[in-house]
Amino acid sequence: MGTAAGFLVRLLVLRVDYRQYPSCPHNYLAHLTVGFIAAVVGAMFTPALLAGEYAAVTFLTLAATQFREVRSVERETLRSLEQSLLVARGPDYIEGIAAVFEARNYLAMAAALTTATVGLAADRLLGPYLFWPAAVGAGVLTLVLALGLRSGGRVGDVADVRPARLRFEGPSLYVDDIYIMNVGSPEAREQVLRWGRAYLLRARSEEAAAKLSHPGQRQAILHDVCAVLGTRKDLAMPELTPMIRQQVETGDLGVYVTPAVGDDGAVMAVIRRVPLLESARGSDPGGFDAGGSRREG
Amino acid sequence: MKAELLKVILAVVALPGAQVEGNVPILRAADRASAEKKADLIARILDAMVHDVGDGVFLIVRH
Repeated sequence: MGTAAGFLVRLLVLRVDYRQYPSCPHNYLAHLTVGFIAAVVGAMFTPALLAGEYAAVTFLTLAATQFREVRSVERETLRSLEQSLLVARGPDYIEGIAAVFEARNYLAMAAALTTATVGLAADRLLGPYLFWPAAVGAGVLTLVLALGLRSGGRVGDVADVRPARLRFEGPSLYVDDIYIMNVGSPEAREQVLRWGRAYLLRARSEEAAAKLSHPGQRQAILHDVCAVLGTRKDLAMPELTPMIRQQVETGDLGVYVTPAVGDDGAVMAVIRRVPLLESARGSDPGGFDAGGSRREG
Repeated sequence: MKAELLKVILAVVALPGAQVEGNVPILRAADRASAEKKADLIARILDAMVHDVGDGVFLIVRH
């Protein structure tokens, strides 16, 4: 019975795992396998306890240790790839991804555990034929819950993006009125105006502004734009390095990017879909009554 | 892992009359066009960027 539940949950969890996977298709299999192990351990927990096998608790902690390992492996991988990226992810983004990988295995395990437990409880308490309906019901419920938990906030949830004007004032590059950098070479200025695109990112609340201005969050936005749409930047053309700078007075962010493909709509769609990083979420002026809605303008 | 010097002035290209001195390579250029060309070439060679700080001084900086 426990194995049957484990198998059922495994299928459900595999789908959860598959859908939650961020864009990195080559190691689907590795994570599906770990997810499967998590599901089996979770599903076996309650039946093992009922059978008086208290060693099952040890296996749970053992599995947890393994998942921590998953996290550090993922962190190491991304960190070593960082050197050969034109636009880095940044340590905050890497940490966020690694944490999510770890957490998803716990999610798989918890889903399996819930399903098996509910199924067994129904079986023992309500009647021998209720195992499957109860297990399936609990499985579907945890799946829905997991899918709901999967997505944290996105930039588009807390901020508005609109196209802005990229211009030079002498050697100084501006996005609208936000200073970006000093470009001394006329040839480079030409390239910047040709390939660069500019956007203005305005947070809808002070809390959101604090989060968006976090350097790790800014780097994540730049990385995602380049990961999805490519970049014109080259090693010998640092002028085309995408950048986000903040306007001190308003907290608006001037976004300067150099996508290889795509129009304004595509870039803005990517920016809106960038996840809000957990490390940037720490700043919360609203908790001290310093936040509130921002004026329009 | 290789170590790289970042945010360092690698070289300076200066127009006649520019107030520059120091321990970096300083190239004197005859006119603005030649200064910009020199600065650009050095920047490309060193994977660096040209910054125009005004008064005929161009800094080559790697970021």
